[in-house]
Amino acid sequence: MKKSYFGRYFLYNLKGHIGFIAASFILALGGIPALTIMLRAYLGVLEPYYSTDTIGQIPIHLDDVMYLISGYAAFVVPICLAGSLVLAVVSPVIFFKFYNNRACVDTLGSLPLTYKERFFGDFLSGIITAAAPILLLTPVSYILLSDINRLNIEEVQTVFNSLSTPLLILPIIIISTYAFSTLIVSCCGSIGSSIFYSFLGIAVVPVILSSYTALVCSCGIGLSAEDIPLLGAVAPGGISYEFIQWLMNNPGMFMSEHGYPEKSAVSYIIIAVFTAAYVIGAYFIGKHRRTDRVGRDFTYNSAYSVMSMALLIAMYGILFLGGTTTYVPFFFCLIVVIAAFLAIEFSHTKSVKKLPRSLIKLAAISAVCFGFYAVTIVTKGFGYSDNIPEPSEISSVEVSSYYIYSPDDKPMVYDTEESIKGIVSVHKDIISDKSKIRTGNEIVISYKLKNGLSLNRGYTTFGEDYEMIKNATAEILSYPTSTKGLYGILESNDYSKISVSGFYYMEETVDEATRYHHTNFVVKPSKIDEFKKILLDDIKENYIQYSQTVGAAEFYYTKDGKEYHKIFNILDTYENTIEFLKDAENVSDPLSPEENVNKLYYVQLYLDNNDPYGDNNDTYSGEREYILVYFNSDSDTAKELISLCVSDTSDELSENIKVVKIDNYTELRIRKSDESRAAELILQIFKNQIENVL
Amino acid sequence: MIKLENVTKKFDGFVALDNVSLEIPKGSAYGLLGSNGAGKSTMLRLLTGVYKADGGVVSIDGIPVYDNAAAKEKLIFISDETAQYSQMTLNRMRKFYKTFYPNFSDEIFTRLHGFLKLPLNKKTSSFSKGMKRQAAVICAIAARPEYLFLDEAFDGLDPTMRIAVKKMMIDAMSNSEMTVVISSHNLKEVEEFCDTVGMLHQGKIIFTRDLSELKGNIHKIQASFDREVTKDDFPELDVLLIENNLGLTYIIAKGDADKDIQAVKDKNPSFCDLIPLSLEEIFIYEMEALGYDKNQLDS
Repeated sequence: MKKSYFGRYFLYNLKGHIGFIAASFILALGGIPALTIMLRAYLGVLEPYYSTDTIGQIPIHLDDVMYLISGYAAFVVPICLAGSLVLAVVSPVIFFKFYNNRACVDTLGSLPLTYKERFFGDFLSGIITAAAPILLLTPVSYILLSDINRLNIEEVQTVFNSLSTPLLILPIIIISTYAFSTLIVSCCGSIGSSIFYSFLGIAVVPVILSSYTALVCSCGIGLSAEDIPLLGAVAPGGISYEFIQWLMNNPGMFMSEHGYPEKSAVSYIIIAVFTAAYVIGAYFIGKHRRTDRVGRDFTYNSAYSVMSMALLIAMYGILFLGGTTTYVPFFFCLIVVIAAFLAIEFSHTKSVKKLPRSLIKLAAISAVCFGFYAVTIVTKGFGYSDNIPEPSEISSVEVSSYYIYSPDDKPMVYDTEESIKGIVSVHKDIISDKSKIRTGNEIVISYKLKNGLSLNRGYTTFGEDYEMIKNATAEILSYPTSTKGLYGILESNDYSKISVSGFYYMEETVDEATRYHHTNFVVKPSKIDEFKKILLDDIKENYIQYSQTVGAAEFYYTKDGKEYHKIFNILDTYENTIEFLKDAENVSDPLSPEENVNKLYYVQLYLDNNDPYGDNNDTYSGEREYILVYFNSDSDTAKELISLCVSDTSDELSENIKVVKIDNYTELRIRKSDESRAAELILQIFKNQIENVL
Repeated sequence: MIKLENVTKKFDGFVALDNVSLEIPKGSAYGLLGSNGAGKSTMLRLLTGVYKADGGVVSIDGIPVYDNAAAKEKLIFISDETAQYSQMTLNRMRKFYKTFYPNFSDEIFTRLHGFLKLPLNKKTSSFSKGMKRQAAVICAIAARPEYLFLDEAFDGLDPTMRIAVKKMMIDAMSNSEMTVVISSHNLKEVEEFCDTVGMLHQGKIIFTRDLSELKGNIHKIQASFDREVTKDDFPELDVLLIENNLGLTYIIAKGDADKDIQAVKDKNPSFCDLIPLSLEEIFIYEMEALGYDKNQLDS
């Protein structure tokens, strides 16, 4: 039987890089996994307060813990992620020593290994170092995230949404980066060039794609760069760029407002194809590379040509498509680009005699590049920018419009043949007169194609000429939609309470002065069904309107055992709703006395040794330990309560009460010497006063 | 047996080895000679499967070497580079060779290491070039390969160590019939160690011959004539070089020594004597015959 030394070589490689593997593991652990561990532990501490509805008793020092976790997410996690990414680039350089270390060529090349054994020995030990720690830790993080989601703490459930996609995309980025770097290392002959061109190769791809995407968008109306899904599918440059961009937009990472860009199955397939192509390419390039060229920058001259060409195109992309419009900076940048290209050529050829050849190369690449730009502009992105798919290619269309008020933020979905044909026709009408529209989001039409791809177009009218898109929206709305439950809670009966906050309206008085009403109240329980119906009718009848929000109705409801609330804006066109709410018969004071007590304040048993706001008060200059009573609102009731508390001279508390006003926020501070006594005092003061107040 | 059949190797148009054919019998100590850039290191790299030949076949015991683990497990190549061991200790080098050469003998390693007294657990980056080479050689010998290839074998070794290394290799050859192929500029060492030598020049094998046969075949005749003589005076000899200096004539010729001296005597010199040639002299005269003239620098 043929003896194979693959296993020995593989293990030898791994053993020889234990330190490197340990570093990779620490970086992998220090990224999102450590963050999820911290979050899980933190939320575990908070969970009892949420489950027993004693949020008010959450110790304030836990805010500091959260602050530390946020700081970790903002600073340490990106460093660890960057470290892991750098490691993925550098690993092939370290493990494929045979390719770039002249001293190792003779020893490794004469070992009893076939090329295949040596390649996969290097490749696998490298990828295990670079990616295995992240691959192993990803499921752990995912389980922890799922557990955070399970905690039923509404405020932190976004953590799962914020981190789950990046967590899954990260190993993909690392693996594809490693594969790409292996390909570059296979073409290079020195450590320096392997590292330099790996990073350069990763960087130029997003630059070329994003600049070209900008060009395509600029030659058509309705396109935005986000709608051209090139970047997010090109590995590793595109997906790394997308990840870094997301990270920069979300320094805190979790509780993020910007979700991770959506990825279709096709994107994942493209990423997988790219990654596989890199590995296969690296294998065959490595097989045919000339060992005697180790020590040079490139073992294949064609690889250098591709690299230098990509670099020049990327630089042109930044220059011509990056928005430099004034002549002086433009020509200065152009000279810099040409000089940079010639400098790289010289460092490669190391000969002034070859300068004319470099100039010819520069001219040829420039001509091809500008020719391509010109063709793109003339053909409007090769027809992409004006492309409206045929109805037969479309599986469904989503439409969101500025003129459709959708409380559930759901787009209107159309999937019948009639609807699709109608929307395509409306779309063609919209772009028939390009003088009236520009790229925007007054109306956004998203086609889901049968081939799995999607096509998005967004338009805004110029100036005040809203009618065209408004009419188009009305026509689209006349087609049957498959969107169900658009008005969510309004169509269900799972509500428990409806309160109206911030509702105001104008009323003409007898003396013709304008009087504003601004109040908070709840809809009387007996009137809730009526209110719901009136509001629903108003919403349905008024969705194509220019309206102003005059208030908001907050619906509290229970679903699957969890409590939620949903806010419906009340627009000034909802005449019936407004009339209903103005009628005192339909509404009542928002809270019962008991509810007022609970809603009005919560007691924070907080030991404040610093008391930053008490320095100017001699009464409290000695011992500075207080129980803080926070008021949930700065309402008149609260103010009255505070005032009564302070003026209660009959009680021992009178000497120990202090009201602190910080901006719009009121704190009632009660001097504390004993925690339980303080709690007793607080209860006593409110028992004495509350009934009088309310 | 090591065999090269019509092997050609080019580097960007430069022909480093040009249609070379060579056989090195098993168990021999083969010395590869040649001027700088003659192709010695290239040939060693082709023999050990580091380089792929552009044409022809390199085989060991009938098995092609390139990309063939079965052939490569029979050989070890110690190149003139030693930097690859810089981050290793001698102990780690031992483990490295033990990993890939199952015949590795700890006993031989311990014996050789004991003799050379190199630090076992110190990184070889702190070693001198000679110490690194000693470390590589003892690991290679302990690995007991069938074929050992050494590029610039004695480079960096002091005289005592050269003797020690030679002795180690001779012992290994006698114990296990190991074939050793060395390239060296130190012809004295090659002469002392090798039984067969081959000479490369401009990518071609000029000769490959048993050393004693070679030394018997090329000789120097010292004679004194009453006139200056030239090659043309000795048409019956295969003269490599004739020098006339201070009334003495030195004739370097190939062929049967007895016949050649008789032919010189037939020209009536006042005296005539046969002087034995060292390998270094043979190398120099052969090179001069090929136009590689050491005196060119003087002009």
